[in-house]
Amino acid sequence: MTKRKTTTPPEKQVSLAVELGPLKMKNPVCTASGTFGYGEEYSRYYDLSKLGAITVKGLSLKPLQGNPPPRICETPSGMLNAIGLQNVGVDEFIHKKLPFLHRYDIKVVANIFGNTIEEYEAVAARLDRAAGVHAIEVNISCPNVKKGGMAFGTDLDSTYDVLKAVRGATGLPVLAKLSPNVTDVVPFAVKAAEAGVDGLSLINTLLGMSINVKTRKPRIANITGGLSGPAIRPVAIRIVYQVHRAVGLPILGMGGIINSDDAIEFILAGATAVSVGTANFVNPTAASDIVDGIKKYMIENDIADIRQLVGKVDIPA
Amino acid sequence: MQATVTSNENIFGSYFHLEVAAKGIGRKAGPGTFYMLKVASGTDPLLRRPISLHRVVSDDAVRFLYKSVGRGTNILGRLVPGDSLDIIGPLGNGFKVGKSVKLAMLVAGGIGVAPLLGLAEHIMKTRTDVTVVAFIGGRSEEDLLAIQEFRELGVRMYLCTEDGSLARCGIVTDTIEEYIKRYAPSGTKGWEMFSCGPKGMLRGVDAIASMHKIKHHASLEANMACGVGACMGCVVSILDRKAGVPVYKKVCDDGPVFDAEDVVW
Repeated sequence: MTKRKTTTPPEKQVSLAVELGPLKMKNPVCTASGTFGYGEEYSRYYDLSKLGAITVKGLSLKPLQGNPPPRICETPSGMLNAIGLQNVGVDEFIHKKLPFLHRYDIKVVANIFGNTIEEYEAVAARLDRAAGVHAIEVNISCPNVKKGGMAFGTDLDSTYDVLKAVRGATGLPVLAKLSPNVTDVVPFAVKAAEAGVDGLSLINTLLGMSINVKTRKPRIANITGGLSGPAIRPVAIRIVYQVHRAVGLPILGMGGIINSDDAIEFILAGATAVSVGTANFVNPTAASDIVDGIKKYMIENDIADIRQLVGKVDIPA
Repeated sequence: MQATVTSNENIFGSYFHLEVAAKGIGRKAGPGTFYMLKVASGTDPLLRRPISLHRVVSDDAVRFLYKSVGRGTNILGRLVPGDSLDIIGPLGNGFKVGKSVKLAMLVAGGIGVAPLLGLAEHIMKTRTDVTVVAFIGGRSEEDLLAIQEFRELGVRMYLCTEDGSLARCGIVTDTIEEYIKRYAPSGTKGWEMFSCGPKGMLRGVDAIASMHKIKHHASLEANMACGVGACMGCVVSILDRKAGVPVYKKVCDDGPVFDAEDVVW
């Protein structure tokens, strides 16, 4: 029998590389802060080098214990959390957690927060000197801590002041993670741009609450918590869309991304890159699968460069 | 991994036996470890459900004993043989039986018996020098589970129900106290407790353990999103011996089994 000649068409070359301002990523997929530990937790499930970047759990100047349990509960297509930013502190991160990430070809985004502007500044300054940190994401939008967090992110002047301070403390690319818990995010995005940040992370969790009707008690100890998961995706898409049209900064889009179609949806709305959050909890390989899925979408839809899709939602005239 | 349901049997009431098969699923499964089960595809319910290992059937099959208590486990109850089940595990740090153990006192409340049968099997298979006794309590007759399996293993059991519908009327701490009163005078060296059940029970058991200086390993449970140590959702307050202060530890990957002496109840 003669062998039949088979010719397979050469795999189409597609470019997934993106730039969030000066932060260059080999693909647009990142992990959202607080959903991926410090990377090590998920390295058992796939090669982290597959991702464009990872954002680590939020870092403060000193270690933080976080909120009392119960801290989480499931809600329709989502979950509420009030972890309260439990973390090892910036110094232990730099010495004990960061070296592990050096072995991967991946961009490391350090998420930071503080109770005061000075604390934000100090954490940023320490990370600035740490080898292997490629960008800083400033969390001014955590709904689960009394001081800091959302208190900064829901006030225009405080937003500007804290971002300006961080900008002055580091030469690394700075992303501002803004709160969706305001009437209009656009003025906050404008303030962030004025403060000189390089990009915007949109969105943090939505403030929510859930009550157990049997016990008549809140289902998490903090009473209120941050809602994440697919339930919030339409809100996130709307905000990314509005901000992209109003402000020139590149956007790291997030909020309920479960699969690559969701990621593409964010890119069409105006995100340059995307972060996978709650999906990591459900499927440890979610972020890696999404990289594959985006590539497949591009091949199938004849998209040579992912950047061609940014903001290309087709709004009927 | 994708496992295949080989049986999902409603034993009685809201209790089920679920057996699943997948290559290697039982290979590293120690007693007290758990699995995260995605009970349905799609996003509602969104999160996996942590279910503790009941017994290892083989390298490629494990069995769970679970109680249908809410939406997730209700859906789980509808699975039939041949169905596919998305599952991660084994996860967590299970029960460790130290070399010095001579008497393993297994203490279970209700569905808390699930991981203890696997522990009994493990000890009887690997440690002929250890005697296993089980103290099993439940609200009522139907909440005393795995009795037949313990009997087949030849484990001496002390049973009780809160309503007196089977065995003695009372709670599991009563039976432990009686046991101790009877046998402790000849020495408790090498005695250790391994418990799983409602928090109130565990706290009561721990009070007895401390009083008699019996080492106590307790398996805790918590709401959990990821099961792999990332979400920080499942923490419990545990004494940090070095620092002398309580810290939050994760049930999923610091536990679920903790040295009960350190648990801040």
